[in-house]
Amino acid sequence: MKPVDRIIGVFMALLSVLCFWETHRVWNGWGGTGSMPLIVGSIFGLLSVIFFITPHQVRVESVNRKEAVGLLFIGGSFALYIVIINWLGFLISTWLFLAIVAMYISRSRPLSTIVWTGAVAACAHFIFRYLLGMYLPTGFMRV
Amino acid sequence: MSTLTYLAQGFSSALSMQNLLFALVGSILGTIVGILPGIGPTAGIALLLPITGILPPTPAIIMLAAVYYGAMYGGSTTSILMNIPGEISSVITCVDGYQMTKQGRAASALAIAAISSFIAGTIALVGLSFFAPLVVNLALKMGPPEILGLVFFAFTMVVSMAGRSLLRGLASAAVGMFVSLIGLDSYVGATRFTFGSTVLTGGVDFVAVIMGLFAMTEVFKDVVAETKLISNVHLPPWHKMIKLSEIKQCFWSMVRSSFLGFFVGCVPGVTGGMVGFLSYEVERRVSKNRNNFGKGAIEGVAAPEGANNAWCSGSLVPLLTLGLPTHTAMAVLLSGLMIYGLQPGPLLFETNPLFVWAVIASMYIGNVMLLILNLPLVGIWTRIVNVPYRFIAPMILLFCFVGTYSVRNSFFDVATCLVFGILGLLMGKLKIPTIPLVISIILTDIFERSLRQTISMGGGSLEVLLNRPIAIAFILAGIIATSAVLYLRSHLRSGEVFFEGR
Repeated sequence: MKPVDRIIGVFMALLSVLCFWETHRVWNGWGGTGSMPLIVGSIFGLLSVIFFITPHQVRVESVNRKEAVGLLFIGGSFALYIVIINWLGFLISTWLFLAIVAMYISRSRPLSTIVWTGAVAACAHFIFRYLLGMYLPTGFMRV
Repeated sequence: MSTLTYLAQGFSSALSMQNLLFALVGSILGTIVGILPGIGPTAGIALLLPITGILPPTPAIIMLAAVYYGAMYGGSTTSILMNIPGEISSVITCVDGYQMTKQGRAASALAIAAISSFIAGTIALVGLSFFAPLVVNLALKMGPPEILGLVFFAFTMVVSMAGRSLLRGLASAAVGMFVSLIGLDSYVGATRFTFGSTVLTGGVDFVAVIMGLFAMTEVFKDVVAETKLISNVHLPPWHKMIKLSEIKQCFWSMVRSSFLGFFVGCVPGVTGGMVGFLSYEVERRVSKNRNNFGKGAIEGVAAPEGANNAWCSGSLVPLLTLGLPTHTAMAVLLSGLMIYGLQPGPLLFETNPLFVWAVIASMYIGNVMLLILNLPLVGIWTRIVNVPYRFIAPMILLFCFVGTYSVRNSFFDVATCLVFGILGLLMGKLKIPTIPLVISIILTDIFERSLRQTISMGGGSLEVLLNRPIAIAFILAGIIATSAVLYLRSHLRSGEVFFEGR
């Protein structure tokens, strides 16, 4: 048995407990609000047991260092983008975000990257805000 | 009114300037989505969902549908020229398509892919036009127990057909069911899994899940190796690309793949990769040219390309008539319909016939547009793959942000998109299929509704099911199909290849 299956089993067991706890909280009879959490909790419970006791032949892949760094950088930048957009506004934070991501991927040409990402951010701002009429955060500069 | 009358009305609406324009835009975008490796039709439609906010429903859905079937046309181009499938349903096209390119017959391969896609797509649309009303009539007679049985069948098919392991498919579906339960219970207004948070009361937004799993995950995967594809194939003028004798040689392959693709498309859980593989295998067994399969047989390109286009139209039958998405792209299209308050199902044909028939009619027109786009203009599309990934990845992420934020103006949804992007990557590494998760989110709501209505009909029990033969038939069909899939997995060597869509 691969240890990863055990981890999936633990995850399923936790979700099962959560579902049963929620079933208990909202239970108002069979056919009521708690029915589906009960069914889903039972499936998770069953799966957790099977993942623990049955060996599997599925070959899983590990995340290599390069992928982990890429995931952390891109994911982290995106999370930061969500945080700063309210303060800096859509236009500036999008420019910053696009430039950082593009520079990370290309690892060269910083000047041209800053120029084209700025142009893309400005176009996106114009299209989404003015052409499509979407509400976008304006930030402290009210742009 | 008859089907032909409705279809004529649909054509009159689809032929308006606005609808024609959006069918063309969708066809072009779909071809690009199909050509670019890393962006499938599901992500393509999801990325365009924000556009629904500013368009009326008919042109918006016409465009999203055109992206979907346009991707099927475009997917073959890189398969044939570079041995790199643009999307999963064109994987099998690589086998003979790339061999033809190596033999200097790339033009013939590209032309037959476009012609076969057009013929099969059109035959399947005729099937959709005449088969859908029959299913609607049947569906109108179905009550909650029958719908419960049908959804059970759909669940079993989706879980058993996805990925290598039934267990992993079920785990994925269970997570999807769990996600679907978060928020308000629409019957009594009780909250579930919200932990007192007001943000979670509105539930997890489906668009955020789709964007995360299909668009953001692809960026995480592809960011490591920047795509550098160069095609140096020189193509002749479009009217010299293929000989009439080659089209005649493939005629029956195209017809067979049309019927196979259409009917298999109606079955939940069957992916485009499986349909392509299935039609290729059928053709390899029945074709007169069977000895050349794998060595550049033109039928080996015509069959899967025809089948995946017919599959597209086939999968619209359960979506439009029963509200059942058979695969992820259909689930996203369903969410696009629901943004407009249009609930697919038998009643949609009664309440909004002009809309439904305009979308169907637009697909006939879109097929003609795509034939034109993919024959004379194929040289232009081949240059698109040369766009470096450093330009594409940030744009996808930007669309992920705008797409998820625009639905409810919620940063929680954007964060959800990021979480599902990471989850999608991890699921890929652990060989857990994402398709059951996505389909389950949609099916759980229908399942819960019909389950609770069935229990209510039975006075607190499910015994009422025993008196409903159609419901029992669906449930038995689900159990038999799952058993058959398990048998095939363990006894057929080719089963592994089939279920992985390789």
